[in-house]
Amino acid sequence: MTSLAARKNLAKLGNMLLNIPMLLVILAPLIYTLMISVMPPDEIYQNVLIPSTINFGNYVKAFTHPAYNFLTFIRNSFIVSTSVMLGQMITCSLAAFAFAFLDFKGKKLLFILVLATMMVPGEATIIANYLTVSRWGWLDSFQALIIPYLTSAMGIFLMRQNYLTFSRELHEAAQLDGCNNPRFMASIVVPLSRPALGALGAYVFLNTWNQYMWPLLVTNSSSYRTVQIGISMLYDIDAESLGLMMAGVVIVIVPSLSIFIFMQKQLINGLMAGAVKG
Amino acid sequence: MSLSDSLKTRTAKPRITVKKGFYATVEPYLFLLPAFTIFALFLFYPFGRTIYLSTFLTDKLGNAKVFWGLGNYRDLFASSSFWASVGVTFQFVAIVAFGGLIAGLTTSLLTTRKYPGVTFASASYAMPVAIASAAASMAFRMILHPTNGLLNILLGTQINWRGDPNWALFSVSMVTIWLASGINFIFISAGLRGVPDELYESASIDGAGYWRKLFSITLPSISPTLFFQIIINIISAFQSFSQIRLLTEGGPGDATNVIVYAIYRDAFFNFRFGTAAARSIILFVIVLVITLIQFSFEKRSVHY
Amino acid sequence: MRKLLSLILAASLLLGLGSALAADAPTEIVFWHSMGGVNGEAIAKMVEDFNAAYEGKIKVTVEFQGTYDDAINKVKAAGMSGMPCDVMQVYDIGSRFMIDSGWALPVQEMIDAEGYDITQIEPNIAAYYTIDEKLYSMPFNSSTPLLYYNKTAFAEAGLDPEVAPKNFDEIIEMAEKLMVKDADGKVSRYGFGMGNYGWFFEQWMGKMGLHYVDNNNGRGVDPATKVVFDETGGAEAIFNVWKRLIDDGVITYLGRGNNDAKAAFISGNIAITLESTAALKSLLVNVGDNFEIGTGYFPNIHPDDEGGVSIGGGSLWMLNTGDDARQNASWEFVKYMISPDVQAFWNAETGYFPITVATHELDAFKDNLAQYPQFGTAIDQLHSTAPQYSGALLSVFPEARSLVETYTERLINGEMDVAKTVENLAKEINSAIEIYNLTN
Repeated sequence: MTSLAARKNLAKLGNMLLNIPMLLVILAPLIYTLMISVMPPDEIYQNVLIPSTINFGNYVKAFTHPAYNFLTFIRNSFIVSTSVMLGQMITCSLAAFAFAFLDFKGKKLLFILVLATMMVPGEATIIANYLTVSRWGWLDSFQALIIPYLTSAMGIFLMRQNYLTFSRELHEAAQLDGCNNPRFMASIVVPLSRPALGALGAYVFLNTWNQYMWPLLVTNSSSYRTVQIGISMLYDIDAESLGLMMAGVVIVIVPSLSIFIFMQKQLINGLMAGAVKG
Repeated sequence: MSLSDSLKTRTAKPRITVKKGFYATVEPYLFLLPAFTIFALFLFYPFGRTIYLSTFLTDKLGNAKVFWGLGNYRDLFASSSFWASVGVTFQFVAIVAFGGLIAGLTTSLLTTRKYPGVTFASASYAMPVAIASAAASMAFRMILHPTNGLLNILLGTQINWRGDPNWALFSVSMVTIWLASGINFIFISAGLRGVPDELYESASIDGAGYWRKLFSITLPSISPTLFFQIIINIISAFQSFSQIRLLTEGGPGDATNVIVYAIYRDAFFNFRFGTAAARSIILFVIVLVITLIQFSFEKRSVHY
Repeated sequence: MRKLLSLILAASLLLGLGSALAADAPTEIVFWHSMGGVNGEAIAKMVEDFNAAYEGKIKVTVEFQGTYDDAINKVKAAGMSGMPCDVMQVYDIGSRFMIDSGWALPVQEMIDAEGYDITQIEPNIAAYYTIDEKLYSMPFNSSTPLLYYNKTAFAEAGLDPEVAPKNFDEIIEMAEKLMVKDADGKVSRYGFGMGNYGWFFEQWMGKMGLHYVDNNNGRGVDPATKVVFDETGGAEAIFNVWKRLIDDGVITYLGRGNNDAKAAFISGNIAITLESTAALKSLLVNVGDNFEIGTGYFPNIHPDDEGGVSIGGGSLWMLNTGDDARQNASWEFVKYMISPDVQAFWNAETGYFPITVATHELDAFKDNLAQYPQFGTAIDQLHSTAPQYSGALLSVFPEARSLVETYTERLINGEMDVAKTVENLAKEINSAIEIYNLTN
């Protein structure tokens, strides 16, 4: 082995080893949570890190005890997240299509308006939205959870960025062939933008799954509660069970983590493609 | 005959060149309609409503009751608690925005080369993106526990990470940085991938070492990415809520009472929607000004 | 003739049967509560039993609404578009708000209509929810604050494990003996620790026999208009105690609320703590055999205080749905929840004490008491309190309690001295009261 190759290998090894402390910092919280969730209660209070026996009682309780409804919460989160995801994929693609392919009066102004929505903090609207939604009698319903989030500036940007990479000639050629815009969009643009669409979908799904504030405010009953709110149920002002709380956290993380691992490549590549230019 | 001429004569249908039909003018707006309807209903209208509400004193149900003009704003500006809140927010945002960036930069730099385990490492570094802030906050509640938490066990200390005013903001910031490290990693890694290898190679030939290359080539080359990422971090930091709610409830004192949390307290705990609305307008203005400042900064330091 | 008569008889029987069958669709009511963890599980069981007992007649849907704070917000929001539930558990400090809202149907009306014997309910507890001789809500999960101590640690430190400290002078004295430091001076056990809980502040007012607000502690004809604890020196006395505890190095600050203090007590890091009776069961479960838990009365601020404690926890409110069938069903449910057997179960599962006098006679209750005499301390403490210390009613209580906690934190950090703390606290609470009275 030449000294250059040897140095390269050493560098690789060094690189690998440097990762270890960083990985520990990132992964430790999750591992610890898992440990606590299967630990017998007295060990938690003795500051034991690795449980002596593994006890799934907390998980059984979270799923079966009538006071908790985790299966329902997971179902609700899925319904809401999937609907929002599909909704955003549609509305953002449509809007992005207009900005990328069509010319019209006020295009610049409308685009700046979209930009502006990113700057309005959620808090400036959440109170008014809450009052609106309760006046419409939408409290405690799926509509309240889904409809306000059916579009986003981030989604419009992402898709527009993607559409801008298509050549203008493609659009012109299609028009020449007598293809109208909706058909052009449906049969040519959408299939070609599948990676970006996939990334958008995954990103939106995860964000919606992780929502806390809005579901907290607008849902009352377990029939509509989402999984994040479910965690707060395991915590009570007078009686507390740390192991049960940690089990709840694990239950809530598993679905989103699974989706992440499954969609990892697409999600990262899709987001990256939109990010390179900044 | 030129190519374009032949293209023109090929089609049987007449190509509309001058008169744009009614449908054609309206069509783009139809494409925009779904998105803008949602924006109008759930963003523009409530924003306007919030401005309106901020000029009133409301009853406990949120109805505007007594016109107060700029009174709410005046009271806020005169309240030391409000300024403490602003100060805390700025500190928090600064720590988290830069902390997240550095975390993402570090993890990205650690995974540029190919070595066994790099895919696992990359997946782990991106993973916080999939963790809900509420879930993470509950987990960290346990980790930061004063007598039985992981951190104190490992360090052998008895620090009350959440209840000690000297540590509360730090603790909440660390949790937020952990959460933000994922998205920072993803975007910065993308940026790193875009740096042409030739730049590094010619620098190596010139005898440049690792750190030299980092500061003279890498960082300048990814400055657009870093710039973009900081903006995202800042906007997102201003909106951080569930960590505060679940870890410290704005305390101790006002040590972690960021503006967003103060808004929640005012509206949903003290039943003062008017004051809460005023706070949110102030927050909007702050975010707007900061973003504008950043864009003007871009012209000077970002290299394309 | 006989045939006709029997036909008519048969027909009317059938009609009667028919209408009885038609009326058999169960009345459905909704119950909102804020009990999580072990307590929430107990509630779920109690509702299940009720539904089984009243099968076909009444069906209760039970929904956990998050913390008391979240729950009351839900009611407010939903209240604008109609009553969201039939029976709701609201915390003690939400009582004034519920009365003012006009959404509540005072249980007194159901009591009068039925001729229910109100002496079945512990008078000291009912007093809290009674204004002008009208009982507004039905007490349900009542608690008083208690002192908990580690008997094993006491014995180790040479203190009599059967004697609990009665006031803060004694606590500080004992805490010094109970403190355990290791070789490098690091404290492995503090003698005393408590959470920064606004409720304790209110309880100490009562212990000193002082009022929190004016207008007969908020129970008069007019609602309260300002606090009086700054004028009576009550707040000052309490904050002075905090200052002493911190300055003497006797305690470690354990954050807001009680959870950290509980955990520290369970793991033996503190030997004495203050907590609600409602925590007793979970403490017993979590401590297990590690040490023996002792209980004592909530400590006095001054050794010669002669006041008493008021109850905390929550009560069941009936909402004015305007639907007679549902209101009657709700009343049945409320009566069930306070019936002696159910209260005995509730008490054993949680530590909240039974609000029905007859519960004390039940075997289930007596057996539990024999096994865990600690449950008795809270009851004795309540019985030795005169009803006049029933506690304040204040519309902005939640905010006030939170402000008390914030200012206590400020005091502990040394941001301001005792006098300034009291002054600013009073100012902020008064301003909140003013605004509320102005807009509502």
